[in-house]
Amino acid sequence: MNCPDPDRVHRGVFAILAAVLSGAGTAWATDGPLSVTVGACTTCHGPHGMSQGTMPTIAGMDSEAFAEALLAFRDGSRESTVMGRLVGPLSDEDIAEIAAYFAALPGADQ
Amino acid sequence: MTRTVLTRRQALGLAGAALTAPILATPARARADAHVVVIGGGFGGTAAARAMRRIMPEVAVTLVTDAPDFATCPFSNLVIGSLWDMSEIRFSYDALHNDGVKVRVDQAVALDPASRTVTLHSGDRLSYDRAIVSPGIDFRYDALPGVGAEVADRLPHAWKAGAQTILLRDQIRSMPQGGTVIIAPPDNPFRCPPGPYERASLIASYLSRHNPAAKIIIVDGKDKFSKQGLFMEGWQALYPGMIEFVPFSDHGGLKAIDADARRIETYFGDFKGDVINLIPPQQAAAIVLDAGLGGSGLWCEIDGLTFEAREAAHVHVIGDAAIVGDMPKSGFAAATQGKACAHAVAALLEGREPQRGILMNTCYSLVGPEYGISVAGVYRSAPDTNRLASLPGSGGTSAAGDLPELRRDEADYARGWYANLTQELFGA
Repeated sequence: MNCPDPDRVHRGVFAILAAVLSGAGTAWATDGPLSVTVGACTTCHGPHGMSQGTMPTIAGMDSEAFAEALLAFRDGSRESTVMGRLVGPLSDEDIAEIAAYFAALPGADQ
Repeated sequence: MTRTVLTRRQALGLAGAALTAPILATPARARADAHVVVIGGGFGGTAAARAMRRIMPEVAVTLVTDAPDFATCPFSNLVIGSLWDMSEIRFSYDALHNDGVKVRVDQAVALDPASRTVTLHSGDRLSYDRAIVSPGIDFRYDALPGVGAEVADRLPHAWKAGAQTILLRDQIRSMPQGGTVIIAPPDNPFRCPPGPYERASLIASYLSRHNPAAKIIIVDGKDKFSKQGLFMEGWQALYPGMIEFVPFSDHGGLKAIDADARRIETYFGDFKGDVINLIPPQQAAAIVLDAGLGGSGLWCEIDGLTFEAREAAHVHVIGDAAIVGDMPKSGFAAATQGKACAHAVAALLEGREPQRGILMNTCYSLVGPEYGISVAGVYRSAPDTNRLASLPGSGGTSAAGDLPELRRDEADYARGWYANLTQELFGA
């Protein structure tokens, strides 16, 4: 299997992340901060990304670390119980959108 | 297409500078006088009503539900297995009131897409601009031989949580030593495909502690079931010899049901139980089919981008009552759909194109209190047909094999999943 160069993939995602964070493009431009895709995350990780249970709280995470984690689940380099099964089809745009959204929320220590 | 490729540091710098701007952006203005009526106070309806208010705080949302509180089917098998109390799976609608959702405790008896009205049992009529309909399932007792709905008083379905859950739990508790529990699940499609097998597991968990010579026989309406390999592995590991699975092709179908004698007659033999959990075949709730939204079938066909019924405009159907592409009939799926549907309704009220976002389903099942397994799926509506199709390279079940740490982790995640899901639906 030919794997894309990970550095190139990461650069692509971070470029999109920057665009998302600047407010251009994606659902944010039209639908406020909420989107269908981020709704997929909170059902397990808790409302506003604040978890009550064993799933980690994802609100307030550093956007780069968040995108890195999703990329690692997607390419299989990070082991998981279920995340690997969920992020496989996410596009770079999806990952950037999700990372930017939760990074902007207040986290557990705020 | 040209795109400036930023270094991570540049991306982060932008992140720091611009993080708050999009969050503070307000949604486009909705029609201030719009009224959205949500039918059903379960996973789909509750998620849709709350999301609607968050996305468009200026829109009036009325949720019609037939009881003042809600008992969840997910985790009701823990109550049946005497591992949890009923109070742990029961939730009030207080948080919805606080969100500004008008909760009407009444029964929605009719939906008229032509006049855009919902008629309640009290006689009141509600007019809507958009209706979000998530009423769940009804049972098809006419598809069972010689019994009606009253059979559930003796052979509980426990497939809508509440009094039925307690009835089945209590029957199992008072069963004689060495007795037999029969679980009779229907053929597909039905609510919660892994549910009957989690139920067998958690009943076995109870029996192995209190009635170790007892047996469980699953007389199934189909030959294969969800997460079958994982369940059977777990049964062998935790309850060897206690659970017997009889596929449809080994019994040929139900021929007669004797509720007094607690006996099921099939085409290839009889099964005698001390407790019979008879889970009838299912269809969309009557309000959906009576409104003509099922066409000639038993479930409502919808558009996978907007959830609008194929048979009626301004009516959006979600959850177990609908055929939602490849998504299973699960509470989690209904909650996911409820949120996505609220986005679609908001877009339509504002004359915008709805987002074609990602939807996910994750269903955990407990084989034992410390033994969890899961199935997951990821879906997006296809641009040509709007069908919510399972995306390649995603989904599937937990890894098979002797993996005790994974099973323990997934049992923990199952509890976290339930806590977060119910918090999103009913929490403050």
